Amino acid sequence: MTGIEDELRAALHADADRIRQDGLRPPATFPATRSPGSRRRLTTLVTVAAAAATALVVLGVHLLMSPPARDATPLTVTFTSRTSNVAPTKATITLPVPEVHGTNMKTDQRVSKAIRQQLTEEADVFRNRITSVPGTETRGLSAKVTVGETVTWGHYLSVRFDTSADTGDEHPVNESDVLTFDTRTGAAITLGDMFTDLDKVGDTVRAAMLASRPAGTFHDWHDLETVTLNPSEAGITKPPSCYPTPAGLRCRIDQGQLTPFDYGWIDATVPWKHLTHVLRPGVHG
Amino acid sequence: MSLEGAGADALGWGRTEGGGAHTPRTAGGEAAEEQGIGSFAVLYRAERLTMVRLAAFLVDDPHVAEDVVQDAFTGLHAHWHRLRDQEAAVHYLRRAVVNKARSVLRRRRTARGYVWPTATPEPGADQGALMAEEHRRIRRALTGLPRRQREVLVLRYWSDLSEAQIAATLGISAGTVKSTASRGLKALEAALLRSST
Repeated sequence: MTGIEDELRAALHADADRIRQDGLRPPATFPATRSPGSRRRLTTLVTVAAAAATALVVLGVHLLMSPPARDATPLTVTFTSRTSNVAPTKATITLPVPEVHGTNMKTDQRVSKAIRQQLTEEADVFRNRITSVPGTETRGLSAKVTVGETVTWGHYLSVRFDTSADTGDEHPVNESDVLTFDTRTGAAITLGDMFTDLDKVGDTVRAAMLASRPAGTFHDWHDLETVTLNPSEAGITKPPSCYPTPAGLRCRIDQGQLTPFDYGWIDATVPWKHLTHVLRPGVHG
Repeated sequence: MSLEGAGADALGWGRTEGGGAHTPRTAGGEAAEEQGIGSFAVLYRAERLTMVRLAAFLVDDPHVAEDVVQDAFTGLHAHWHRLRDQEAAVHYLRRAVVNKARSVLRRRRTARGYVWPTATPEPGADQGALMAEEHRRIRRALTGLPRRQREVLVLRYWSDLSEAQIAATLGISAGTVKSTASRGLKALEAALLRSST
């Protein structure tokens, strides 16, 4: 420990002590958050409605996996919440049926199970969110999950889900999720299974996002610093949805994940020629 | 829901006054769940002051620092249900505060391009009693450092974070943290030397 370090530490602590608790503004009021044990407090109506929603989703996913798809009628799932502090709330999940071609029944079952789980999670996330809406909310709330893209590259099949949720804020909350499968086995594939170095891929993706950002949106690298492709490093910034396509690795993220009070999708596709050096052996289109 | 009286101290989220690392103790976290108290409220109560102090070092204005921290908590609240590891919430919060402080400084630079510069407000009469002249010289020198050096030094010598924790907060490598801290200390010494001659 050198002298300058001691002096700096002492000066910082002395300066920090000038700001005291009683000198701050009154504490902010946040909507109540749901504690882990509060699931039991959900009304019976919500529970029953959610169960019905799940059943519809399960039924719908069975149709989803019938190749080729003949009926493109969107599947709609609704549930309504009436609690003491939340206005009547309706969630809508719309699913245009994508054409998915598995190689055998086992593969289809694995893919179907993963998609069913994804949809159930999306419904659950929205149901959790609406419990935190302030009681002053009077309009009906809604969430919509759509299959944004179904694309194959080599042996890989990717299904991207785009969620737009109205949670009572000034603008919707957009989030994107993607599931990628190996069509030979039905196994779920992560980016870590495809690339040897996610940090390098992340750098390339950030550069592509910066280049493709819409005018008037986020400013520079600093706003992208929290974007990571490694789920274990992701904090409040949800990792972008990245999946292989014939044109390259396609990534999507909502601006609200990067800068507060913004929304709108940012899409970027990194051509494969920029990623060949980090592809794992055997991964190809 | 008012966040006052959440009993953060009793629940073991570490100190709520002064500097130092701010890692929630596991036993306290379990106690919070057992007592049915919203963990976000506990976090807010326990970390708000610390985060305001951190932000004040980065933006040099306590009022703006409060705005920065409020924005960071608001962002965290919006994502609270999707947070995979709520134990790491303090780390995420610290990172959000640093990022939002940078945004404020960027906007401030832009605004200064259009607004006639005004004199920096003189410190109040009570400032002298609270802060020694030597400390003020160090704070002034710190303010003159490049942004990243200032961030690293504040996180290292006020937040008492390790190099790895600083690296994770700022999104840089541990090696960069080490070299930046070294350069920052040298620059600080040089600035103090200049101011004393």
